[in-house]
Amino acid sequence: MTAAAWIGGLLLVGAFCGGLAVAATPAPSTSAAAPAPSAASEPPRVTLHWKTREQGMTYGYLVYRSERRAGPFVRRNDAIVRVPDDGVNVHEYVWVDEAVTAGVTYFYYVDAVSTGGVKERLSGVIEKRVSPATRAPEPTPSPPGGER
Amino acid sequence: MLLPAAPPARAAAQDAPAAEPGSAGIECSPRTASFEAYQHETAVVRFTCTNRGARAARITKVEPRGAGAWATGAPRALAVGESATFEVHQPLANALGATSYRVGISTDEPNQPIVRVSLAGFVQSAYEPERGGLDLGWVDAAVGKEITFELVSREVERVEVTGVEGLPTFISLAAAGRAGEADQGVRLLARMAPGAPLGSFAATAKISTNVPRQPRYDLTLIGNVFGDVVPSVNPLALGIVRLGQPAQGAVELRSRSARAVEVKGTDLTGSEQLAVIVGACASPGPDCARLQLVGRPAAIGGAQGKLTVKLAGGATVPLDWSMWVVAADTHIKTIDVLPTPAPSPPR
Repeated sequence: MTAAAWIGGLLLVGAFCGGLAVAATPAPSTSAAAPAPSAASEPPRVTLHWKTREQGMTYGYLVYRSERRAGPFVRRNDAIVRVPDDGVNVHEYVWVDEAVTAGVTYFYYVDAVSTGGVKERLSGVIEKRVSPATRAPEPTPSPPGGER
Repeated sequence: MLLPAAPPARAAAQDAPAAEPGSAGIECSPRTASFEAYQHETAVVRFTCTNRGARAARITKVEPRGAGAWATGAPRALAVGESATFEVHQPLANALGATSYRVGISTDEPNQPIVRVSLAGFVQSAYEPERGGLDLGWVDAAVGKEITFELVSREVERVEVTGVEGLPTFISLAAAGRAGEADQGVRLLARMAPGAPLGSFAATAKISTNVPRQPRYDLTLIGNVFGDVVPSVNPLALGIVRLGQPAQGAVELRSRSARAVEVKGTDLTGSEQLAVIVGACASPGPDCARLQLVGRPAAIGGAQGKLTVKLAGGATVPLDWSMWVVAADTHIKTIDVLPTPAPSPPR
């Protein structure tokens, strides 16, 4: 059972009709994906956008990340990205990964988790290199699991 | 080894609906407390009850209805306008997905003997498959059996098994390599040793791992162990039976070595209304015996038990049976689905 379907965007996979887009800072774009452009003082981050059409059985979404395309991918979001209970079946989601290092390339994908608790791959793998162009502030130690 | 204690689940209280004017004296909120947790955690939520009546009242009992749940804070007397908070602890065990549990708060208010509240939340698994089940199928007692199971968690880079508990001595379960993408998971080898007790079995392996948020995973193993004499089915399901109507089911016992199968006696547990009739198989021969369970059940509900068949020579064949008895006028829906063939016993 497919609990949700992509709508629009990049990196389409399988039967999904949508995709996952990322933006990253430093080097912010005008995309809504990026935070306000104050790169010199902003820590690096990766922002994921996705848009889905839920089919009534989706509880939420899980974001996975790896530093290698082949994995292993490890879950990044501690709290499940919830599907709004608003009676609407098309939603856009934004999730920000703040535990990233400038100059490092990351790979992401998204799972849907059904109301029955079963996980299902929703997106393909998307790659993002966090630009080293602007030096990020000294990193502060992240707790295990980063910003989860 | 001891399993690490499950951490309490995070809980968040939803806003309760506004109190109804003129409603009974004790109001509890939230009506539904929400939580999000992992399997084997304990959801902990709080309910606050306020005496909005005109006289003192008493919370006599807070009774969570979920399995293994308990509450703190009661009994408690409440003066007019006074509030008290009760904490409900609900072990989640192997629940999965959206789930809810009821809680009854008893009072000494004659018009409001019980206030009903609930916990509603989402239980996630840190593993795939989210629920563990492994069917060993038919197992020759003289040979034993081995079967593998792949356990993956994408909550860590590499799952490691640190312990297994809960299995009978004739079944072992151990890591036997890597599994999954990028070797993130672990391949487990379940091994049933030769000489296991005959009959059906079900056991749950409590697997300890290095996954911080859910360091325990339950894997249920089932199967049927047979000797020389093999039953055609086990368990013997008599299906749904209407009260007052006959229940019946049959099983054939056949010797794999073509020895004579002579039934010397049977021992049936679980029902006073069922009897065992011994007869010839559809393909008659001395190496086969047919047993029929027949009777008219006298009570509505599920019933199950054991049928132990004693053979000449001292061997026994343990079988399980079950049925579900409904009222005579119950409408039984027939669902149009493809039949799932049961695995055939070995010949």
